[in-house]
Amino acid sequence: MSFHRSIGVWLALTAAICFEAVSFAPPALAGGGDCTQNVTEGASVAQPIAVVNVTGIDFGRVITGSAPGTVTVSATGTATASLTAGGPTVYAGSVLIDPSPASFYVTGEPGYFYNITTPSTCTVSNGSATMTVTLAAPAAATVDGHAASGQLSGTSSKIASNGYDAWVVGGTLSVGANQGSGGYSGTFSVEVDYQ
Amino acid sequence: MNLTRFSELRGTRRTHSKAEGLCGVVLRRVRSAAFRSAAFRSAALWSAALLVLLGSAILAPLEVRAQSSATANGTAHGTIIMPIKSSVSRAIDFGKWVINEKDANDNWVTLADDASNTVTNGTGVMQIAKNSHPAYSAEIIVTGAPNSNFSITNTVISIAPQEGTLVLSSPAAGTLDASGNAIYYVGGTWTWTSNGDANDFDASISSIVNYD
Repeated sequence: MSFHRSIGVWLALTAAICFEAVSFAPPALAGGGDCTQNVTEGASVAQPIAVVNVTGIDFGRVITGSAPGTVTVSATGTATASLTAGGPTVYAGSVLIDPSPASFYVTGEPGYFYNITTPSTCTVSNGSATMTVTLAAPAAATVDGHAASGQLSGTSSKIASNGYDAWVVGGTLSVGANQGSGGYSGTFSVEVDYQ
Repeated sequence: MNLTRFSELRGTRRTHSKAEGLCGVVLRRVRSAAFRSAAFRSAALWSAALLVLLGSAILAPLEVRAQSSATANGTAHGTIIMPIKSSVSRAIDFGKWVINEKDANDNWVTLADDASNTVTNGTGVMQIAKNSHPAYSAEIIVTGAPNSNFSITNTVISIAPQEGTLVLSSPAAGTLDASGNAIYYVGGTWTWTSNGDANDFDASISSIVNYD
């Protein structure tokens, strides 16, 4: 009988060790996520999230004016000037550079929600002069053949069942009075995080 | 006895090196006579299985978290071009003509819309004072974005005195060179309906260019 009690003690000890391990597990996750989901799905199943930039935002050719103004590129790639008197206008001639929003697609674990973080502004420069670009919120779109999941809301979205999601980012270019001519370029960083 | 065994077990754990760890404890117990018991073996296996399951559960989320974010750089681009502008470097001038009073239908003069200043005329008119009052096409200088195309629209605003008609001509479009410059010429045909009244005929015209 005492031997069986010994077995009981052994099991109790094992259970205690296990309980201790589980009790300390949540701080290791450091995300406060759904513990049950993490345990049952596991790392070998969850796909890492990744974001791919396909095209940059392009305002096309803008004719500078004697007054400042803005040119906005929509999510559909339409450029519109602010129509300020004497301000910049959108070039619509035959030597056209098509305006376009920046486009991205995301790959990851189907069904997972994620956040999108974009800067509010970025700067473009021609080497001697600069302009400010105010970036718009992401808008769902098909990018590089990858359809949007249809779950984009503000800066939160969801990976579709095929493992993809896609969206675009438009923006507004602030053009100064008699802005110096030339090509202006700049970069901005986009981050995606599983929720 | 139970307390003694428990104490021995705990004591055993304390005396093991870290390298041996829990596995060392289990192995030591395996070698013990007690492990020959089927009940003990069963309990040990269950314990090991439980530890493996929980171990994988604890480790798995750590890997997921390491891959839970990603970044990409986007680019922003825009091209600023100068407004297209034009200026008249030389106005159109049809020269001096004597008008034939006999047949007003032939009282016309045409100026070429190029740099040649070539004049053709009807039989009802005759050019005079060619050297002192030569005929010139209008010369328009255009500046703007290099290599851009532009369209040209000519309009006669007014003629004074209001006799005859003026039809302007020029290329319909042009292209700025690599320096952003271009020149085009405006000619046209002036037909007088007057039959000989001496007058200075003046016309106000416009030639507008736009990026095309």
